[in-house]
Amino acid sequence: MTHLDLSKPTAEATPAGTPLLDVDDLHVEFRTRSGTVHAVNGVSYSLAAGETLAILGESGSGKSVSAQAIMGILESPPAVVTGGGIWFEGRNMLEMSAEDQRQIRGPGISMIFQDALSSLNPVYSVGFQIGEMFRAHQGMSKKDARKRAIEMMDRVRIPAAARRVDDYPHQFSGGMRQRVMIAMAIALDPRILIADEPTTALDVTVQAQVMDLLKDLQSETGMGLILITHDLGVVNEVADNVAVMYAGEIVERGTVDDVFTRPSHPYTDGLMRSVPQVEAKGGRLQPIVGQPPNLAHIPSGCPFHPRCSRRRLGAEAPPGRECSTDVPPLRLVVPGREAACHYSEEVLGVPAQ
Amino acid sequence: MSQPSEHGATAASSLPTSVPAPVPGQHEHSSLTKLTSGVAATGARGEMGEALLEVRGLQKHFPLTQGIVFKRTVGHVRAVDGVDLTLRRGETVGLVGESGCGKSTVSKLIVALEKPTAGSIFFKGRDVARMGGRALKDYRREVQIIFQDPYASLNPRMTVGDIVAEGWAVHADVAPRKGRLKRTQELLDRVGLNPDYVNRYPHQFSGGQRQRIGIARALALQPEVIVCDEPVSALDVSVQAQVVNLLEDLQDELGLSYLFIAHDLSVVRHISDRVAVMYLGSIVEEGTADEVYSSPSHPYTQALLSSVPLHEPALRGQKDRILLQGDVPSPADPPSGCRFRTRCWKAQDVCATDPPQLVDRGQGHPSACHFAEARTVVPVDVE
Amino acid sequence: MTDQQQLDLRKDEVQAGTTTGLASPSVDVTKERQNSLWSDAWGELRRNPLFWIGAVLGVFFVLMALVPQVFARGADPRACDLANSQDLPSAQHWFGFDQQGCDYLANVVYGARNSLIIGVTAVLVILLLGVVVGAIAGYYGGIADGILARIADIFYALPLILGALVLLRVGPSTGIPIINSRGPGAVAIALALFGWMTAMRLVRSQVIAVKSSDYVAAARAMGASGRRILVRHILPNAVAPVLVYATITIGVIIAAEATLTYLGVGLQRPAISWGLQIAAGQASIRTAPHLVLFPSLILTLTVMAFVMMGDALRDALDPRQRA
Repeated sequence: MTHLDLSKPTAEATPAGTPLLDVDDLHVEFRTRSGTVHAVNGVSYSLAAGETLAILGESGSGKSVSAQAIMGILESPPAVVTGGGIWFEGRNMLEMSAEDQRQIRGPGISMIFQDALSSLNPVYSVGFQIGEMFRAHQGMSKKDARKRAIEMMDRVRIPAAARRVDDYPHQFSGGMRQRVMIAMAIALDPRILIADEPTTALDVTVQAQVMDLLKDLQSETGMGLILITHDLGVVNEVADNVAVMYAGEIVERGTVDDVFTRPSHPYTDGLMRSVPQVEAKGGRLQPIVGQPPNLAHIPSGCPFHPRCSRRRLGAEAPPGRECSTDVPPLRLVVPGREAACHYSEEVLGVPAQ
Repeated sequence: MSQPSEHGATAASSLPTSVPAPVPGQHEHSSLTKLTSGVAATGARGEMGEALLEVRGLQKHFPLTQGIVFKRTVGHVRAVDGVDLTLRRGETVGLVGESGCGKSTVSKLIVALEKPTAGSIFFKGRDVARMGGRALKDYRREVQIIFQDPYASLNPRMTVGDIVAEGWAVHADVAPRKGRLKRTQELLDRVGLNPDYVNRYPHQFSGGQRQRIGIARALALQPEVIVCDEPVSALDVSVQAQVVNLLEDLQDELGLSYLFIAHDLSVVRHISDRVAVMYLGSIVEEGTADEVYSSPSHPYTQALLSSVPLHEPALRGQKDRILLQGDVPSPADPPSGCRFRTRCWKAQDVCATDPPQLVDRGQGHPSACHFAEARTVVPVDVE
Repeated sequence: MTDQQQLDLRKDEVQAGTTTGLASPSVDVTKERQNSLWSDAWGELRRNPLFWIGAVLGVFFVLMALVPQVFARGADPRACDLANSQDLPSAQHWFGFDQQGCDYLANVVYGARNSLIIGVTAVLVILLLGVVVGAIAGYYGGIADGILARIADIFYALPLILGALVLLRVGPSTGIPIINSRGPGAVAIALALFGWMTAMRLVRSQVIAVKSSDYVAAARAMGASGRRILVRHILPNAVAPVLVYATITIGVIIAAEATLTYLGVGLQRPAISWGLQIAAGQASIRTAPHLVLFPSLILTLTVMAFVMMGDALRDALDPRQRA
């Protein structure tokens, strides 16, 4: 398969080294009346304890769907996991009973979402909802659960936690609601936290607070963090490794330092060039032409070829590397870096092997 | 118009960024240029013309009411509370701030969708709040708006052609009835859409394309000023740049002035000549983009800039980290004196009593802080 | 990058910017005239088999109401012979005979007129009241909305049947034309008067939603008049859901007419209506089920015809529903 284990270079970047999670060649489809949407097409990655892996992609790149598959919260139908495996601490979650999966969710893997308001139940106090985790999973009494809820709210730095524990979600600001959600997610000390666009709906000053909190919690507990986002800056500031997704596939993978300094896939390269930076006014932006693909009609060959500036078509291309017909596999380009492009060496400016 | 999309292709992307004319292939745009002949195209960015819009002491207070049939006013939300802004011909003024700071209300006030509680908006010297009938109608032709949400800003039951041409039904003098379809197609072509798609409906387009439709609608009336209310915030990263470039090209070509409202500090720096930073209904700092970004002097601006994640791995960890505590106070009950004092690390007694004026205190640009002091928070790019 | 590549890319930028990834619809051919919502909707309706089934059925029943003698197979609904009382359907008399021994097919056919007049008239009045009152309440808001919404609440408190029953009881003693007649007009108005509130609420909530939308703000910022905004933006978006409601309501109204008749305040014999027939047939449903079956069947078909047309119309008026 095209899956190459990246845990080695990863292990150097992070203190702890055992892979907690191994996603192997995952395929997810949505079967709708109007056709099949190929949301995730052969995605593989692994996550070690203490590691922060960013999954970077635009809307419709399949980045959230792969995370939802890990959490087992895909609505099925229409979603169907059609292949691959999700290994949590050596056990394949896709082959487990629903009850075993439930046991992993919470204490094993936990998730926070973009929209904290709709993820919290408006008719229960936040203390009750945080305490629910302890009552449901640990059979704690109501009184103890409330006490633990206050501790958790303290831990996510909600001011005056003891006073606010009986408040309802709508009485909190957006940033505070996100903290409540984080408190719920980390209540059972999960080994892995998946954060799906955790700060997209927040203002930039609040975003900084929340990302800070996540980093601190991670260094306290040593949990693995999967950060799903479209924000290049957040990836750069928070993550160790990054997987760039496009049209349901990982098109580039490596450490953030490497990928952001010298991208090796034209899509990553284009993304870097098209985004203005706060550091400098910069010249004219160089957008990627066209629109992100419709996952119901993914282009043939390399899914990025209709928008790519480096594509080679027809007779221009060497045999086996025609961009509109030959699917480029995710391959090792230089040590520690994988990309799914026939011409990655060109993008990087290194001689082909 | 034999092969419109190809004409559009060459013209759209071969436009030089600085000099508007003569453009190779200008004849292809002859009727569009005619369309905008009323506007003196000042062109080159940097040399700014006279002040078009002058906002002075603008206030908008929304009443907080209780009761259903007989409403009782129980307080006011001071959404905008004393804003001064100047927009000159051909320039882009960026207005940044976080959600709830009142920047969108400013945009609605400027395009006369809301009436100000106090203060005035002068357009070419005339107060918009006192305009009525004919004068207001003329003003609305000159000042157009582009919205944030490309899904909500286009009527789902109108064809793209009808949407773009709607302004001409209101201002019939802009385009004679006969050539309207052709002009609509020229506008679509100009914003990078296939002119043959006039009969399609908005839902058949992607977000970026819808935003282009919104831009074409705004352009149809040949405005001088376009208020862009978060025009790229809802778009995918790779599409944002396309729309930003389009806006820049149109400005160079037609001499437009933009009031660019956004919360994305990077985009604002890129597109703006001058920048104003808003906090809780008023402007706390103003200056050229370089002044505000390189030497911010208001504590809020500094905190805001320091929160923006950087894109360069090499610069990571080099900037000052200023983490603000707490939340923005409610605009229904703002703090006395300086609005920012409740979260400010420099606050002293004077801040609670005297609201600081937006004046230059020796940093080279105005800042509304008693203790304004320039400080570099964003590291300079290594280029 | 070579010049050729750059040229290619530029071409792509425009083309890619114009490709939606959807199958290209056939409406792109631009002629002199631009399409509008209504012309597109008609084009859409023409291709919808559901609409044609509904339309054919609808026309059939309307014709039945206009010229019943053509459909009655030569029988006179009032030429009765008690000897045939409650006879079952036969080759000669498709629907059999009723209690009085009248040809039931002729009766059902002649009943179409009153039932349709009541159903359609009442729904037209409901639509008129609902759209006008709802649009005023939603568009102007404030005190007008407060008062109108409370009035609607008061009417809500009176059940449809009870309200109509009281009005029809009191009607004849008043001097108000139509109402004092006990004819189909009075029944229709009585039912409409106590049935317009849901339509009004639908329109009102739609108008409020559309009124605060960005595209209405864009139109206002352009200087469009209130009338233009109402006609071009608000009504097309607000009326579509009401149309579907209205088609379903035709059925409800015809059934309500039957109930009023059953309670003795609706149409009176010797008038002929499906409501009267169903009411009368109920008494002998064990011995002569066809007396309830046939008028109910025709009533259901009529209602279905309107519902199908309404459904098709809603889809046609919503471009997002189109393939």
